[in-house]
Amino acid sequence: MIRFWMFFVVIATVSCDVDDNKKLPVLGNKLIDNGDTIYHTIRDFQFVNQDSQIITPSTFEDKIYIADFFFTSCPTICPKVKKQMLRIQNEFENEPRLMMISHSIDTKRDTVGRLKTFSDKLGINTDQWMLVTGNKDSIYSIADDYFSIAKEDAEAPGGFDHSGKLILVDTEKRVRSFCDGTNPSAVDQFMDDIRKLLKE
Amino acid sequence: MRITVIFCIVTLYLLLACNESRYSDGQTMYNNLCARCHMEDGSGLGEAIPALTPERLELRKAEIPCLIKHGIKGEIMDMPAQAQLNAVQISNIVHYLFDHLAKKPVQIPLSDIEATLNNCPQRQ
Repeated sequence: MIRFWMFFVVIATVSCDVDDNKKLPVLGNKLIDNGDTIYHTIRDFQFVNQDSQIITPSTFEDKIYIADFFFTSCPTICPKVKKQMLRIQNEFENEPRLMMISHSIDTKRDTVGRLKTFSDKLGINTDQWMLVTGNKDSIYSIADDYFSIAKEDAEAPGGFDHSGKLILVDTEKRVRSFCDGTNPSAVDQFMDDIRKLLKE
Repeated sequence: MRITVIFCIVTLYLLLACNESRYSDGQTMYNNLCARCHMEDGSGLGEAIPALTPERLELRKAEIPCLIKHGIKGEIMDMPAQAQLNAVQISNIVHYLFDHLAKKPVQIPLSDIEATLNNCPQRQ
């Protein structure tokens, strides 16, 4: 009996180790082309942030980043997601390789000035975390690349359907992890994934 | 033996009772209507959504029933009106706020809350 338990403990320990060292998966469809694997990546983009700076993929060069979709007057899930993002920023405040980008899906009301006021009120470090707006279609279609949801819907509270997902993107613009940004324990696991990705 | 059992049951009851607000109706309504923005612990969100601190609650104590019922127009975010709530429901939320979040229990007669609600200023 004791031997059985020792065997079990050894297996459990070993399997934990393996799991810890395992790299995060690359999410999305893969294509094999002439023996090369082509992964799903985020398309090129050009948005403008709360300080009127143009944001493109080169802003995130050699960095990993978290993306999400929100709007400032959102009456439903956004405050909780923003609260968790503040927690992430706090946790990784000294990590220059991690950035965050929140896309406003309310391109009509969320002007650059309004995003600026909102970022001031949240008290965020805008060197690491930026709020962006831009061409409506570009924002709605890039949500698809992130496997998130952004959609106008007059029936939905506040006028938009959107998901509270946080999406983790690596230096090669590939999606590596995501979580429900309204759920603190899911965000704890997500932060473990961020640490894992930073080690790659 | 019997005394020990009774003692254990009483202790357990007291422990459980401590974690449970005395205003469970207020707690349910707070969690459903207010916590989305003000958070379950009342900590709010930076300066975008005010934290429901004991000081702030005390400062605006007289206005709270009207603020809940009619909402507040904010610079970025509005606090939505909860016009569907009656005086009893609002009283339950107010008592929950002071009892549980501010840890400064108050006892406000329902007639006071009703009088306040009947004399709310025009929405700002």
